[in-house]
Amino acid sequence: MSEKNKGLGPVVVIVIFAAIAVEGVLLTDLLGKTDTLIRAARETEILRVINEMEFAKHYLLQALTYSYYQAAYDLANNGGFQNSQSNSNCIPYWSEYGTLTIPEYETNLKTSVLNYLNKYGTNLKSDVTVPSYSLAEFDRANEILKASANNNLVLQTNTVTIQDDSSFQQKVDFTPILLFDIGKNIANDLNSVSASNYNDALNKIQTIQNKYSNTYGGSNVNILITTQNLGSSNENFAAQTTIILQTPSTYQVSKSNNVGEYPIQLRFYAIFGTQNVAISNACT
Amino acid sequence: MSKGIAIAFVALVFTVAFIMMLLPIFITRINLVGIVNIETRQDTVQLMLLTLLSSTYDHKPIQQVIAEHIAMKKYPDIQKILSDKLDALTDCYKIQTTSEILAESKNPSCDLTTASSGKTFSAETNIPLPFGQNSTKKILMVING
Repeated sequence: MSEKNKGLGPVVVIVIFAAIAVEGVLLTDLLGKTDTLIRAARETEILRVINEMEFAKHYLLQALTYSYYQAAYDLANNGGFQNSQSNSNCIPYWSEYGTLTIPEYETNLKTSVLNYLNKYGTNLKSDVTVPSYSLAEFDRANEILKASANNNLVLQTNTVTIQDDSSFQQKVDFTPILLFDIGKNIANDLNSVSASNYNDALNKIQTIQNKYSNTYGGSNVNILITTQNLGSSNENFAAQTTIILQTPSTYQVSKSNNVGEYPIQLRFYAIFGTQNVAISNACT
Repeated sequence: MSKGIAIAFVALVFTVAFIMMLLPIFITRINLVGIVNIETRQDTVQLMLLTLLSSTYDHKPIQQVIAEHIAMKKYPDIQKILSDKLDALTDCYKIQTTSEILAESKNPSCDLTTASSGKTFSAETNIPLPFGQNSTKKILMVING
Protein backbone atom coordinates (compact mmCIF):
# COMPACT_ATOMS: atom_id res chain seq x y z
CA MET A 1 0.00 0.00 0.00
CA SER A 2 1.34 3.46 -0.93
CA GLU A 3 2.19 6.15 1.64
CA LYS A 4 -0.50 8.31 0.06
CA ASN A 5 -3.22 5.75 0.72
CA LYS A 6 -2.03 5.23 4.26
CA GLY A 7 -2.47 8.98 4.97
CA LEU A 8 -5.91 9.12 3.32
CA GLY A 9 -7.67 6.87 5.80
CA PRO A 10 -7.32 9.07 8.92
CA VAL A 11 -8.30 12.15 6.90
CA VAL A 12 -11.50 10.48 5.77
CA VAL A 13 -12.28 9.47 9.32
CA ILE A 14 -11.73 13.02 10.54
CA VAL A 15 -13.92 14.37 7.74
CA ILE A 16 -16.67 11.91 8.61
CA PHE A 17 -16.62 12.86 12.28
CA ALA A 18 -16.56 16.56 11.40
CA ALA A 19 -19.52 16.05 9.09
CA ILE A 20 -21.39 14.23 11.83
CA ALA A 21 -20.76 17.13 14.17
CA VAL A 22 -21.94 19.69 11.60
CA GLU A 23 -25.00 17.59 10.80
CA GLY A 24 -25.80 17.37 14.49
CA VAL A 25 -25.74 21.15 14.83
CA LEU A 26 -27.82 21.63 11.69
CA LEU A 27 -30.34 18.99 12.70
CA THR A 28 -30.77 20.50 16.14
CA ASP A 29 -31.29 23.96 14.69
CA LEU A 30 -33.72 22.79 12.05
CA LEU A 31 -35.69 20.62 14.44
CA GLY A 32 -35.94 23.50 16.89
CA LYS A 33 -37.22 25.88 14.22
CA THR A 34 -39.61 23.25 12.91
CA ASP A 35 -41.00 22.79 16.40
CA THR A 36 -41.56 26.55 16.61
CA LEU A 37 -43.33 26.51 13.27
CA ILE A 38 -45.55 23.64 14.33
CA ARG A 39 -46.53 25.61 17.39
CA ALA A 40 -47.19 28.69 15.25
CA ALA A 41 -49.41 26.61 12.95
CA ARG A 42 -51.31 25.30 15.96
CA GLU A 43 -51.74 28.82 17.34
CA THR A 44 -53.13 30.12 14.05
CA GLU A 45 -55.54 27.19 14.06
CA ILE A 46 -56.62 28.14 17.58
CA LEU A 47 -57.19 31.72 16.40
CA ARG A 48 -59.27 30.46 13.52
CA VAL A 49 -61.56 28.36 15.70
CA ILE A 50 -61.94 31.18 18.22
CA ASN A 51 -63.04 33.46 15.38
CA GLU A 52 -65.48 30.81 14.13
CA MET A 53 -66.95 30.60 17.61
CA GLU A 54 -67.33 34.38 17.75
CA PHE A 55 -69.12 34.38 14.40
CA ALA A 56 -71.53 31.76 15.72
CA LYS A 57 -72.23 33.74 18.89
CA HIS A 58 -72.94 36.91 16.91
CA TYR A 59 -75.28 34.92 14.68
CA LEU A 60 -77.22 33.38 17.54
CA LEU A 61 -77.55 36.67 19.41
CA GLN A 62 -79.16 38.33 16.42
CA ALA A 63 -81.22 35.22 15.69
CA LEU A 64 -82.64 35.45 19.22
CA THR A 65 -84.00 38.94 18.48
CA TYR A 66 -85.54 37.88 15.19
CA SER A 67 -87.02 34.77 16.83
CA TYR A 68 -88.71 36.82 19.54
CA TYR A 69 -90.42 39.29 17.21
CA GLN A 70 -91.45 36.62 14.71
CA ALA A 71 -92.86 34.47 17.52
CA ALA A 72 -94.73 37.44 18.99
CA TYR A 73 -96.12 38.37 15.58
CA ASP A 74 -97.32 34.85 14.81
CA LEU A 75 -98.77 34.31 18.28
CA ALA A 76 -100.67 37.61 18.25
CA ASN A 77 -101.97 36.76 14.79
CA ASN A 78 -103.38 33.55 16.24
CA GLY A 79 -104.96 35.33 19.18
CA GLY A 80 -102.37 33.98 21.62
CA PHE A 81 -102.90 30.35 20.71
CA GLN A 82 -100.34 28.10 19.06
CA ASN A 83 -101.93 26.22 16.24
CA SER A 84 -101.27 25.29 12.67
CA GLN A 85 -103.85 27.65 11.24
CA SER A 86 -101.31 30.38 10.69
CA ASN A 87 -102.67 31.26 7.29
CA SER A 88 -106.28 31.56 8.33
CA ASN A 89 -107.95 34.72 9.53
CA CYS A 90 -108.35 33.13 12.93
CA ILE A 91 -109.81 35.17 15.81
CA PRO A 92 -110.40 33.18 18.99
CA TYR A 93 -112.85 33.82 21.82
CA TRP A 94 -111.25 34.72 25.13
CA SER A 95 -114.58 35.18 26.89
CA GLU A 96 -117.86 33.42 26.14
CA TYR A 97 -120.93 34.12 28.26
CA GLY A 98 -118.98 34.28 31.52
CA THR A 99 -116.39 31.59 30.67
CA LEU A 100 -112.81 32.74 30.20
CA THR A 101 -110.54 30.93 27.73
CA ILE A 102 -107.41 33.04 27.89
CA PRO A 103 -104.39 31.33 26.32
CA GLU A 104 -101.16 30.74 28.22
CA TYR A 105 -99.60 33.38 26.02
CA GLU A 106 -96.35 33.76 27.90
CA THR A 107 -95.66 30.02 27.82
CA ASN A 108 -96.73 29.84 24.18
CA LEU A 109 -94.47 32.75 23.32
CA LYS A 110 -91.47 31.15 25.00
CA THR A 111 -92.11 27.87 23.17
CA SER A 112 -92.41 29.67 19.87
CA VAL A 113 -89.24 31.71 20.46
CA LEU A 114 -87.31 28.50 21.14
CA ASN A 115 -88.75 26.84 18.02
CA TYR A 116 -87.57 29.69 15.84
CA LEU A 117 -84.19 29.94 17.57
CA ASN A 118 -83.57 26.24 17.05
CA LYS A 119 -84.42 26.61 13.37
CA TYR A 120 -81.85 29.37 13.13
CA GLY A 121 -79.39 27.14 14.95
CA THR A 122 -79.91 24.37 12.42
CA ASN A 123 -79.43 26.82 9.55
CA LEU A 124 -76.12 28.17 10.88
CA LYS A 125 -74.15 25.52 8.96
CA SER A 126 -70.77 26.22 10.49
CA ASP A 127 -68.18 24.05 12.24
CA VAL A 128 -69.74 25.06 15.54
CA THR A 129 -72.16 22.55 17.02
CA VAL A 130 -75.19 24.45 18.27
CA PRO A 131 -77.20 22.71 21.03
CA SER A 132 -80.96 22.59 21.16
CA TYR A 133 -82.31 25.55 23.15
CA SER A 134 -84.82 24.51 25.77
CA LEU A 135 -85.34 27.46 28.11
CA ALA A 136 -86.53 30.99 27.40
CA GLU A 137 -87.02 33.55 30.15
CA PHE A 138 -88.45 37.06 30.23
CA ASP A 139 -86.92 39.58 32.57
CA ARG A 140 -89.76 42.09 32.43
CA ALA A 141 -88.13 44.60 34.77
CA ASN A 142 -85.12 45.03 32.48
CA GLU A 143 -86.86 44.07 29.23
CA ILE A 144 -84.40 41.27 28.61
CA LEU A 145 -85.02 37.99 26.85
CA LYS A 146 -82.79 35.06 27.80
CA ALA A 147 -82.37 31.71 26.07
CA SER A 148 -80.31 28.81 27.25
CA ALA A 149 -79.53 25.20 26.41
CA ASN A 150 -78.29 22.21 28.38
CA ASN A 151 -75.05 21.98 26.40
CA ASN A 152 -72.34 24.38 25.33
CA LEU A 153 -71.42 25.57 21.89
CA VAL A 154 -68.64 23.24 20.70
CA LEU A 155 -66.13 23.48 17.90
CA GLN A 156 -63.86 20.50 17.41
CA THR A 157 -61.05 20.11 14.88
CA ASN A 158 -58.22 17.57 14.57
CA THR A 159 -55.94 19.66 16.77
CA VAL A 160 -58.13 21.72 19.07
CA THR A 161 -61.54 21.68 20.75
CA ILE A 162 -63.17 24.74 22.24
CA GLN A 163 -66.44 25.21 24.07
CA ASP A 164 -68.36 28.31 25.02
CA ASP A 165 -71.50 29.13 26.97
CA SER A 166 -74.56 28.76 24.77
CA SER A 167 -76.77 31.09 26.84
CA PHE A 168 -77.70 34.43 25.33
CA GLN A 169 -79.65 37.42 26.44
CA GLN A 170 -80.87 40.36 24.44
CA LYS A 171 -82.69 43.57 25.22
CA VAL A 172 -85.98 43.51 23.31
CA ASP A 173 -89.14 45.59 23.15
CA PHE A 174 -91.70 44.08 25.54
CA THR A 175 -94.66 45.97 24.03
CA PRO A 176 -95.83 42.84 22.16
CA ILE A 177 -96.14 41.03 25.50
CA LEU A 178 -97.93 44.07 26.93
CA LEU A 179 -100.62 43.57 24.25
CA PHE A 180 -101.45 40.20 25.76
CA ASP A 181 -101.43 41.59 29.31
CA ILE A 182 -103.85 44.36 28.36
CA GLY A 183 -105.99 41.91 26.40
CA LYS A 184 -106.20 39.61 29.41
CA ASN A 185 -107.40 42.46 31.64
CA ILE A 186 -109.96 43.60 29.05
CA ALA A 187 -111.25 40.04 28.68
CA ASN A 188 -111.59 39.76 32.46
CA ASP A 189 -113.56 43.01 32.60
CA LEU A 190 -115.83 42.06 29.68
CA ASN A 191 -116.42 38.67 31.25
CA SER A 192 -117.85 40.42 34.30
CA VAL A 193 -120.17 42.79 32.43
CA SER A 194 -123.83 42.48 33.25
CA ALA A 195 -126.19 44.44 31.02
CA SER A 196 -129.96 44.46 30.71
CA ASN A 197 -129.99 45.27 27.00
CA TYR A 198 -127.69 45.89 24.08
CA ASN A 199 -127.56 49.68 24.53
CA ASP A 200 -126.60 49.21 28.17
CA ALA A 201 -123.91 46.74 27.08
CA LEU A 202 -122.50 49.26 24.60
CA ASN A 203 -122.15 51.89 27.31
CA LYS A 204 -120.33 49.52 29.60
CA ILE A 205 -118.03 48.39 26.83
CA GLN A 206 -117.20 52.02 26.04
CA THR A 207 -116.37 52.59 29.70
CA ILE A 208 -113.95 49.67 29.59
CA GLN A 209 -112.31 50.97 26.42
CA ASN A 210 -111.87 54.44 27.92
CA LYS A 211 -110.38 52.95 31.07
CA TYR A 212 -107.69 51.05 29.20
CA SER A 213 -106.98 53.75 26.64
CA ASN A 214 -106.31 56.16 29.52
CA THR A 215 -104.26 53.63 31.48
CA TYR A 216 -102.04 52.59 28.57
CA GLY A 217 -102.09 55.82 26.59
CA GLY A 218 -98.49 56.45 27.65
CA SER A 219 -97.41 53.17 26.08
CA ASN A 220 -99.15 54.24 22.86
CA VAL A 221 -100.68 50.82 22.45
CA ASN A 222 -103.58 51.18 20.06
CA ILE A 223 -106.78 49.80 21.59
CA LEU A 224 -109.89 49.35 19.50
CA ILE A 225 -113.07 47.65 20.68
CA THR A 226 -115.98 47.20 18.29
CA THR A 227 -119.24 45.46 19.01
CA GLN A 228 -122.07 43.93 17.06
CA ASN A 229 -125.33 42.40 18.20
CA LEU A 230 -125.68 38.77 17.13
CA GLY A 231 -128.96 38.50 19.01
CA SER A 232 -132.46 39.14 17.78
CA SER A 233 -133.25 42.44 19.55
CA ASN A 234 -132.08 45.06 21.97
CA GLU A 235 -133.37 43.01 24.87
CA ASN A 236 -132.46 39.58 23.50
CA PHE A 237 -128.93 40.50 22.66
CA ALA A 238 -125.61 38.79 22.16
CA ALA A 239 -122.87 41.40 22.17
CA GLN A 240 -119.95 40.07 20.18
CA THR A 241 -117.01 42.33 20.96
CA THR A 242 -113.89 42.42 18.79
CA ILE A 243 -110.85 43.60 20.69
CA ILE A 244 -107.89 44.74 18.60
CA LEU A 245 -104.62 45.70 20.23
CA GLN A 246 -101.72 46.92 18.11
CA THR A 247 -98.17 48.01 18.85
CA PRO A 248 -97.28 51.59 17.87
CA SER A 249 -93.92 50.38 16.47
CA THR A 250 -93.17 48.07 13.57
CA TYR A 251 -90.87 45.07 13.71
CA GLN A 252 -88.95 43.10 11.11
CA VAL A 253 -90.98 39.95 10.64
CA SER A 254 -92.11 37.66 7.89
CA LYS A 255 -95.74 38.00 6.83
CA SER A 256 -96.87 35.39 4.31
CA ASN A 257 -93.20 34.81 3.42
CA ASN A 258 -92.63 38.49 2.77
CA VAL A 259 -90.14 40.07 5.12
CA GLY A 260 -90.97 43.63 6.06
CA GLU A 261 -91.62 45.95 8.96
CA TYR A 262 -95.06 45.35 10.40
CA PRO A 263 -96.81 46.22 13.66
CA ILE A 264 -97.85 43.34 15.90
CA GLN A 265 -101.61 43.04 16.28
CA LEU A 266 -103.56 40.92 18.73
CA ARG A 267 -107.24 40.23 18.04
CA PHE A 268 -109.78 38.25 20.00
CA TYR A 269 -113.49 38.10 20.64
CA ALA A 270 -115.60 38.34 23.75
CA ILE A 271 -119.33 37.60 23.78
CA PHE A 272 -121.96 38.05 26.41
CA GLY A 273 -125.64 38.85 26.54
CA THR A 274 -129.12 37.62 27.31
CA GLN A 275 -129.30 35.42 24.21
CA ASN A 276 -126.98 32.47 23.64
CA VAL A 277 -125.94 32.20 20.02
CA ALA A 278 -123.95 29.38 18.49
CA ILE A 279 -120.35 30.33 17.82
CA SER A 280 -117.36 28.44 16.43
CA ASN A 281 -113.95 28.68 18.07
CA ALA A 282 -111.79 27.08 15.43
CA CYS A 283 -108.63 28.72 16.72
CA THR A 284 -108.29 26.65 19.91
CA MET B 1 -6.52 -0.47 -2.85
CA SER B 2 -9.60 -2.32 -1.51
CA LYS B 3 -9.25 -0.39 1.72
CA GLY B 4 -9.38 2.86 -0.24
CA ILE B 5 -12.47 1.69 -2.09
CA ALA B 6 -14.11 0.72 1.17
CA ILE B 7 -13.41 4.12 2.67
CA ALA B 8 -14.70 5.85 -0.43
CA PHE B 9 -17.81 3.69 -0.31
CA VAL B 10 -18.39 4.54 3.34
CA ALA B 11 -17.92 8.21 2.58
CA LEU B 12 -20.41 8.01 -0.27
CA VAL B 13 -22.99 6.21 1.85
CA PHE B 14 -22.50 8.69 4.61
CA THR B 15 -22.91 11.65 2.29
CA VAL B 16 -26.09 10.23 0.81
CA ALA B 17 -27.45 9.52 4.30
CA PHE B 18 -26.49 13.01 5.40
CA ILE B 19 -28.40 14.61 2.54
CA MET B 20 -31.40 12.31 2.94
CA MET B 21 -31.67 13.14 6.62
CA LEU B 22 -31.49 16.89 6.12
CA LEU B 23 -33.57 17.23 2.98
CA PRO B 24 -36.99 16.27 4.43
CA ILE B 25 -36.55 18.75 7.26
CA PHE B 26 -35.73 21.49 4.75
CA ILE B 27 -38.78 20.63 2.68
CA THR B 28 -41.06 20.36 5.69
CA ARG B 29 -39.85 23.64 7.07
CA ILE B 30 -40.43 25.46 3.78
CA ASN B 31 -43.89 23.91 3.56
CA LEU B 32 -44.68 24.83 7.16
CA VAL B 33 -43.55 28.43 6.65
CA GLY B 34 -45.87 28.68 3.66
CA ILE B 35 -48.78 27.18 5.56
CA VAL B 36 -48.28 29.41 8.60
CA ASN B 37 -48.13 32.48 6.34
CA ILE B 38 -51.38 31.50 4.65
CA GLU B 39 -53.05 30.66 7.96
CA THR B 40 -51.96 33.99 9.44
CA ARG B 41 -53.43 35.88 6.48
CA GLN B 42 -56.64 33.84 6.77
CA ASP B 43 -56.88 34.72 10.45
CA THR B 44 -56.35 38.37 9.56
CA VAL B 45 -59.22 38.53 7.08
CA GLN B 46 -61.41 36.58 9.50
CA LEU B 47 -60.67 39.11 12.22
CA MET B 48 -61.43 41.95 9.80
CA LEU B 49 -64.80 40.44 8.96
CA LEU B 50 -65.56 39.88 12.64
CA THR B 51 -64.56 43.46 13.46
CA LEU B 52 -66.75 44.79 10.66
CA LEU B 53 -69.83 42.80 11.70
CA SER B 54 -69.42 43.85 15.34
CA SER B 55 -69.07 47.56 14.60
CA THR B 56 -72.17 49.72 14.63
CA TYR B 57 -74.07 52.03 12.35
CA ASP B 58 -77.35 53.77 13.10
CA HIS B 59 -77.15 52.29 16.64
CA LYS B 60 -77.19 48.77 15.22
CA PRO B 61 -74.48 46.16 14.63
CA ILE B 62 -73.32 46.16 11.02
CA GLN B 63 -74.39 42.51 10.87
CA GLN B 64 -77.97 43.64 11.43
CA VAL B 65 -77.62 46.49 8.93
CA ILE B 66 -76.45 44.03 6.27
CA ALA B 67 -79.30 41.65 7.14
CA GLU B 68 -81.88 44.43 6.80
CA HIS B 69 -80.38 45.47 3.49
CA ILE B 70 -80.49 41.91 2.15
CA ALA B 71 -84.02 41.21 3.41
CA MET B 72 -85.68 44.56 2.75
CA LYS B 73 -83.22 46.70 0.74
CA LYS B 74 -83.33 49.13 3.63
CA TYR B 75 -79.90 50.68 3.04
CA PRO B 76 -79.34 51.70 -0.60
CA ASP B 77 -76.05 53.30 0.48
CA ILE B 78 -74.73 50.03 1.91
CA GLN B 79 -71.58 50.37 -0.25
CA LYS B 80 -70.65 53.62 1.50
CA ILE B 81 -71.59 52.36 4.96
CA LEU B 82 -69.34 49.32 4.65
CA SER B 83 -66.56 51.11 2.78
CA ASP B 84 -66.28 53.75 5.49
CA LYS B 85 -65.57 50.93 7.94
CA LEU B 86 -63.38 48.74 5.73
CA ASP B 87 -61.19 51.53 4.35
CA ALA B 88 -59.81 51.90 7.87
CA LEU B 89 -58.83 48.22 7.97
CA THR B 90 -57.45 47.46 4.52
CA ASP B 91 -57.04 49.12 1.15
CA CYS B 92 -58.03 46.19 -1.05
CA TYR B 93 -61.21 44.28 -0.25
CA LYS B 94 -64.52 43.01 -1.47
CA ILE B 95 -67.47 41.88 0.60
CA GLN B 96 -70.37 40.07 -1.03
CA THR B 97 -73.21 37.62 -0.73
CA THR B 98 -73.94 34.86 -3.22
CA SER B 99 -76.06 37.28 -5.24
CA GLU B 100 -74.75 40.77 -4.60
CA ILE B 101 -71.51 42.67 -4.03
CA LEU B 102 -72.13 44.72 -0.92
CA ALA B 103 -68.95 46.80 -1.05
CA GLU B 104 -65.58 46.77 -2.76
CA SER B 105 -62.48 48.86 -2.66
CA LYS B 106 -62.26 51.87 -4.97
CA ASN B 107 -58.45 51.64 -4.94
CA PRO B 108 -57.41 51.36 -8.64
CA SER B 109 -54.45 49.13 -7.76
CA CYS B 110 -56.64 46.67 -5.88
CA ASP B 111 -56.72 43.39 -7.77
CA LEU B 112 -58.85 40.59 -6.43
CA THR B 113 -59.31 38.69 -9.67
CA THR B 114 -58.28 35.08 -10.13
CA ALA B 115 -55.16 36.24 -11.95
CA SER B 116 -53.74 37.32 -8.61
CA SER B 117 -54.74 34.11 -6.87
CA GLY B 118 -52.28 33.05 -4.27
CA LYS B 119 -52.27 36.59 -2.91
CA THR B 120 -55.96 36.86 -2.05
CA PHE B 121 -57.41 35.58 1.20
CA SER B 122 -61.02 35.14 2.13
CA ALA B 123 -63.27 34.55 5.10
CA GLU B 124 -66.93 33.72 5.16
CA THR B 125 -69.70 33.45 7.69
CA ASN B 126 -73.47 33.11 7.84
CA ILE B 127 -75.67 35.89 9.18
CA PRO B 128 -79.31 35.53 10.24
CA LEU B 129 -82.07 37.37 8.40
CA PRO B 130 -85.58 38.14 9.67
CA PHE B 131 -87.32 34.81 9.55
CA GLY B 132 -88.68 33.89 6.16
CA GLN B 133 -87.93 31.49 3.35
CA ASN B 134 -84.26 32.42 3.56
CA SER B 135 -83.42 32.98 7.17
CA THR B 136 -79.64 32.78 6.70
CA LYS B 137 -77.26 34.38 4.21
CA LYS B 138 -73.59 33.70 3.56
CA ILE B 139 -71.23 36.67 3.60
CA LEU B 140 -67.82 36.41 1.91
CA MET B 141 -64.98 38.85 2.39
CA VAL B 142 -61.86 38.83 0.20
CA ILE B 143 -58.72 40.87 0.69
CA ASN B 144 -55.44 41.11 -1.15
CA GLY B 145 -52.71 40.07 1.23
